[in-house]
Amino acid sequence: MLDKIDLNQKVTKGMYRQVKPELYRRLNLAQIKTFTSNIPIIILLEGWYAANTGKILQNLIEPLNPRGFRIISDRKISSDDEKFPWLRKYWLNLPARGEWVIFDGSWYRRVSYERVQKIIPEKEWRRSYRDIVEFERTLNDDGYMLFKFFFHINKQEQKRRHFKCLKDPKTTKQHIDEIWEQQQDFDNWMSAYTEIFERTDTEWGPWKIIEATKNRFVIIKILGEIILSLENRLRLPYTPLPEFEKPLESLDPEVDLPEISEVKGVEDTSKEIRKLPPDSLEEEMTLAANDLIDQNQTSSDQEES
Amino acid sequence: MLNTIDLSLSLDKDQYKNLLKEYQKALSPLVDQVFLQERSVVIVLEGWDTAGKSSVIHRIIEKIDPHIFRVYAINPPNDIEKSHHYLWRFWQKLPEKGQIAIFDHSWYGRVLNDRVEANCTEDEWQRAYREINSFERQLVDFGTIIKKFWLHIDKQEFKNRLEFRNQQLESARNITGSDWNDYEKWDIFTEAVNEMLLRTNPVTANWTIVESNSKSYSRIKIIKNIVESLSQELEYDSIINKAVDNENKSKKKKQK
Repeated sequence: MLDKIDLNQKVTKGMYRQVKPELYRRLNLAQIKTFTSNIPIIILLEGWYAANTGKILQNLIEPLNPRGFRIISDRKISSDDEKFPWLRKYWLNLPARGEWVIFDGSWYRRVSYERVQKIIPEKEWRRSYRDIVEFERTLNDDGYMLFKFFFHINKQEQKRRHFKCLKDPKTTKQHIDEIWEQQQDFDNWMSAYTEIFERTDTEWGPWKIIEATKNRFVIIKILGEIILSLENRLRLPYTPLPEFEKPLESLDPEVDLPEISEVKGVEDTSKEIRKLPPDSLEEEMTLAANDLIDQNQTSSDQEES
Repeated sequence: MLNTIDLSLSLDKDQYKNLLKEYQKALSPLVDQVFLQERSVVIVLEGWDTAGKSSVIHRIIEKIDPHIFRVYAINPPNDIEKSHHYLWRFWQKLPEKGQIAIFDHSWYGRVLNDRVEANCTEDEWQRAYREINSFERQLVDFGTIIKKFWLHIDKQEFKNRLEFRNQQLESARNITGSDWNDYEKWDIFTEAVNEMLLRTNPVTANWTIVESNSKSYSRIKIIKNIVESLSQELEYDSIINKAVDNENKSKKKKQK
């Protein structure tokens, strides 16, 4: 299932700049509308280690009103949770009506991490699939909207990112070890994930597998997925997403985007502050150089497109 | 289902006192075993108002270690609870390992009161049976012992008790309008109860119907049931035998 995915889809920088503000505007509007119409939203972010879930999360919440959402991270599990049936900790964190909750790591930890690490016996994780399916069905029946994203990268890419993280002083040692452990045990994890998709990809909780090799592509893709389903649910008239897969001829952000300084009469500092997430290792290596010489950057953009 | 119950069952006073004493004595070490073996217990008491739920709870908790149990009286949901799924507030109240939770009214309110009062749509209470079964199955998988009791009285007795309570002006639990509501909707309510007893009755978490026209009989039946099933589940039965022996003895005495 996972090996049939084209992992090399990407979005050019110019396109990204052009499309993102529009997506952000629509996502923000959708959030306000879900609040007023009392629709609870759950977003699950699952994926391989080093799939850059953190960065994706950062970009996802940027346009959202901070009062309207919560992020529940499943990285830390309190020891009290073992004293209760396993789904309890997720039940207690469910959003109220009109609220958004983003689960960074979710109830699928049970059938992926805890299965592969052999924390629980096979009998227990085997029956967890049924618990999960019924749980999600209950939520869907009750009016919850559930997005399940899986960020997929392949084994070589993960290995490459592992070495990249080794050089990065910002990455914690714990995270590096996690990546390496998963890298060593990749096939086991793969079979765990494949079984997840086979057993829990339901009518009421479909999986969205996202090709996560290129950061910009992932961000544009999940923003689009969320916006379209939300607008559909809110019965807003269908408006197609801005195209980003086919690069246009007149792809010059300098021309198409209105300058902030022109509109508001203030100094435009957005270019300096907003740094684009690096799309690949090579690009990051050259990023420093690109910053210095602006002309070089635009010319390389044109080459890409 | 409820029509076939013999509500005339009762116990005389001496018998009741002896049995209650014995079973309460038997229950106390069993509850300690719950704590030691790290199991958890959920006791659900549903029934007509005035059927004697709180007096039963009083008898259950009288002799047991106060650290080990919690009693929850379930009222209509507040605003925060209303803005979540109806099972959400019960997930919060689940007992942890080694604890006992006693629910006076419970999640079955969804398929009883909410259904009868039309607080939810038909779709909602129809799917609630499945959701409740799934919920209880998860508890059983985790190792929780679930005991569910329906305390049944007949319509005439219900009316008598409501009227009797109405006269006790100083009682903390005065009759409110909602109790008479249940009385007026007796037939619809009975239908809801019958369906609940049929559709949420798996082997691992089955209902016990308690004939409660005689309070003494219903109290003994519930405590006896709890003692027996706990000793079976926890494989700890030295004291229960004594209690059963005594019951036989008192029967023999009566025969003489």
